[in-house]
Amino acid sequence: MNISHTDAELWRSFCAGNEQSFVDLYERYYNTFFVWGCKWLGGEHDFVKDQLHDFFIYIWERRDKLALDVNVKAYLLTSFRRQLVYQWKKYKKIESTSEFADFAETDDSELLQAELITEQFSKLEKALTLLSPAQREVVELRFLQNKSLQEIAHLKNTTIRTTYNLLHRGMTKLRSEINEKKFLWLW
Amino acid sequence: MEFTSSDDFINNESFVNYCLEINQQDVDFWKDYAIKNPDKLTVMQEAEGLIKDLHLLLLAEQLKPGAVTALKNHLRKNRKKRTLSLWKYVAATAAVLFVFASITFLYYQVQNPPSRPELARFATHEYRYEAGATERKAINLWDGSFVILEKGAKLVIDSTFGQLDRKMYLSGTAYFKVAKDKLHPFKVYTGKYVTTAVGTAFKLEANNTLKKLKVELEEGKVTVEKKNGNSWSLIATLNPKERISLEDNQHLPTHQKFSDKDFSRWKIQEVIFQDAPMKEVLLQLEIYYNVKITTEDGAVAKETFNGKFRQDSLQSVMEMVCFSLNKQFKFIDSNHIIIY
Repeated sequence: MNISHTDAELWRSFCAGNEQSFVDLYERYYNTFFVWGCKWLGGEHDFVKDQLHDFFIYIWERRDKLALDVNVKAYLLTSFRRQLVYQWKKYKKIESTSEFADFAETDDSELLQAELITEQFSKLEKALTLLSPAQREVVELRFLQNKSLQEIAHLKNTTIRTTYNLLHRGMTKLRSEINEKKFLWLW
Repeated sequence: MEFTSSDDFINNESFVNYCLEINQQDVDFWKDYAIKNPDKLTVMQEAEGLIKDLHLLLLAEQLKPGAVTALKNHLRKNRKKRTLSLWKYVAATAAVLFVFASITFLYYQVQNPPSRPELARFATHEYRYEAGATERKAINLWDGSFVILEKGAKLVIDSTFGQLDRKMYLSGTAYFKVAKDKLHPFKVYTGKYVTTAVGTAFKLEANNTLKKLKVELEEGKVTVEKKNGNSWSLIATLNPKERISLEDNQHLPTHQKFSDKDFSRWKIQEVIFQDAPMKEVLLQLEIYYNVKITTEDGAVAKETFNGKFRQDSLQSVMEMVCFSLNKQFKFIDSNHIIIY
């Protein structure tokens, strides 16, 4: 099994020019950044996807100028959000120097927010891996491919009842995993 | 229908349609519902948040393989540019060096095929299974293999499962009935050992703290290898009804015969079905009791079944199953049952 490095280890090695560590960081944070990017912009999947790529290339090219001792999660998430919002405004040609003040928060609150975002998110991510392959499949058909229960039942050559049960059990499992601690969905 | 908790909303098809904006009619309905039921707003929003997050997360996982490949390609392109310009410079200085350089460059090209399809490597997912402290767990893997996890055992299916091989990691005791697939060897890693099978049935008892491993083979053939620095050395090849016990400090493992009666008894110690599709139930019973079960009525496979058996005879299990199906069964011969 892979030995997982801590963020700080990956960060240092990435700053020193290690490509694998850089790719590892990208893989580690891809889901979180994509989802939160979409949330901040209220959709715009394609734009977020492209920006995420550009953002990581940007930090790769600046790797020798980056501080070694940072809270990786908070640093990346905050920088990405700034970059994303900036590019979005440029893209939409929104002239707004005043609105930009919204993002000049203190480091503490940003740190806290990054913790909160990644914590609740990793729970959902982890919960998703605990689904059985069959459960995972119906969850994907329903929530990613937007198939109706009827269509899924037809596709899997089974009854609506069985499909519903499978989906229901899957969702109950997700809920029980993430509900260990009650938290706010920051939608 | 009365909606009291966020789960009620999550499990409602129309509500999901509203959250994901699949159907305008549902969108209108739930917008209207929200206005008329302000007391439900909190749970509604909670449900909506989960559904939207789930959608985005699934989308992210779908995009990730492509994104990682794109990033790697970008890095590779840049690396090549640098290598190229360097070699050009060298080539300009001396002809002899140029020949050397182009060979090296060709070699470099071969070493780094420009667009290897890397997508598949990330396409699947790592799955973790864990049997409870008091109950066993039965798992149907998607290659058709079947696993029984003994109480307290843990199994992690590697995310590369099914690509070059079928890799997984076990702690505790488990029984494997492996689907035949010669191209993808079935590999179970337990501490320093790996047990490899092609199409076979075997039981593993791995004790990671004591560094012990016991392998019992029911049918087919398996090999057991031990990690030796960076390579694996073959320790044993097992034939049916043979067992070996391995300990870290013991160099010569011993082959022993074991009684298949004990083995069969172990398998049926506890059999649990929870809302299991009948097709799966019958498949598992076939494995547990080494019999073949056929059904005359195909519709039977679509039913679901709940039941718990402990050391029950096949006769009583079949009676229970057929009772729930409102069907009869009979033995055609000693190991073939028909449900009619």
